[in-house]
Amino acid sequence: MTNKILVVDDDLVVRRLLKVILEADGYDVTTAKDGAEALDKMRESRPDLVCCDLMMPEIDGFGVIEAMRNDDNLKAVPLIAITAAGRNSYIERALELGANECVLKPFAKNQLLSIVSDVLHEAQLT
Amino acid sequence: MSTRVELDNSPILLAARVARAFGNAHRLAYAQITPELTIANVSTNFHAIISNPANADDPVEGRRLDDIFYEFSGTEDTLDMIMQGGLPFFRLEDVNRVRPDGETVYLMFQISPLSDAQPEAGLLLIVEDVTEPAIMRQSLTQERNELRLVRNRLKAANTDLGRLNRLKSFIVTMAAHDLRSPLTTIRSYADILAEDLKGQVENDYIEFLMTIRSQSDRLSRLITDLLDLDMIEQGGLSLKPEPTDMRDVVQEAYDLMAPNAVLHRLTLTNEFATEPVIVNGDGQRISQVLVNLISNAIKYTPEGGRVHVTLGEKDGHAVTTIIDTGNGMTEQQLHKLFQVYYRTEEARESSIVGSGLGLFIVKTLVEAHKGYIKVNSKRGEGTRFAVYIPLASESEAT
Repeated sequence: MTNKILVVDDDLVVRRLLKVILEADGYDVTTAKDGAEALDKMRESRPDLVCCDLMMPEIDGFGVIEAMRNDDNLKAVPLIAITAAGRNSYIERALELGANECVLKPFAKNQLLSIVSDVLHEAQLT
Repeated sequence: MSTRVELDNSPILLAARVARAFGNAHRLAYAQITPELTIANVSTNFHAIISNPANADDPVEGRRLDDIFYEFSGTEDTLDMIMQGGLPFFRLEDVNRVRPDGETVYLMFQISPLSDAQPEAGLLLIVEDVTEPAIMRQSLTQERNELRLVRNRLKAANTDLGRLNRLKSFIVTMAAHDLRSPLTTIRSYADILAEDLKGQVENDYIEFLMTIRSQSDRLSRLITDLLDLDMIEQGGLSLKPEPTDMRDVVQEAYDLMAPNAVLHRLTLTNEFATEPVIVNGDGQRISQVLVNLISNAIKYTPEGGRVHVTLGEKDGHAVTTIIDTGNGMTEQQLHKLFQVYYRTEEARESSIVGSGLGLFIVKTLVEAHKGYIKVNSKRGEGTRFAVYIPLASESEAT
């Protein structure tokens, strides 16, 4: 069964890049351009994994994590925070709120793919 | 001729002589005041001290005290009390007069009984010229006010600096964020293209793609450097120390830099310890230090040269050395090497890109691990960097 991944980033180019990388590895990828659209889309169709940027307008990545962890249906969906933030505090906050992993931009393709597969694997074991 | 009478034994003359003896004649003058409060005998310098331009032609003797010094108007009762011994003295301070030359003089008047035994002898008026102390006091007050002004300005400037510093921090953080996203895309697409096109296009093109990749890596390290510098400046450098095997850290940095050496057509070799070398450190930060030093060695060593990386133990420290066959440095260059923004003249004039931040951050990170760095360099022969970090067993013992 193909794993469904929802990619959330306000930057179109990064969204496309993630889609290209993840689809080439066999995942079924949908995208959202901000937190609100992401929450709508995952409530419509529950993904197996969310890859979410942290700094976005309106509802940011932290807001997405919080909303997911407070939603019974989305509580268990694993999330990888992808951030270009230079502050450790962002990463720490994301992990505290319930992100499973953090990936720093710029990331290497293979590094991202191995984290995605690890997180999916872990989530499916539990 | 003067109408003043100075009797040899008059208390006024006596007082004037005392003043002269103490070198105070230029600022102390005396007058005898009768019980009727008129001025009787005065010392010879009296007119000069009170700045009465008239002096001999307009003598003060025989005139009423409050006629000459209006400041005494209405003090009759007080002066009477002094004469009766009810008050020891009466003082008027900071009386001022404008001298004929336009300068202001400040005077102090003091009145006391002329003779304790004979109230009818009248009063002794001492006039002291306090211009110098008054001016000094004035200028002190002025200086104090100026200092207060300067202090307030400094305070305001400091507040401004703090604000600018926070703004700078904000801009650095934002710029880093906005630069990293496009870098991610550039790097990843170069990666994807190189992978997919391997064997289908000329090797040169693959190398171009690898260059795009390694250059974006370098830019991203520069961004990290800027963020680190900002963090160090804000005093927020935080380490997450844990028992770490230096062999893993060195290997990671080495592997990361290996493709770079190939691009620069250098030989990269190593000699790592076979037993674990455990330090209590932040692996990511130490790796950052080593990547920086190895990348420098590669940058500054001409084609065909060699960079050798070793890991061992010495004197309770994990020792990582990075030895290159580059151009080496002069004493003077070595001296400034770890200063922030320092770049050697050659580095600035050559095509080698750098910010001058790397080694400053390297030094700060190593010192945060209670370690140190040794550099040996010889012009024309090469440079050897040695990074010393205390072994975990040692740091626990201390």
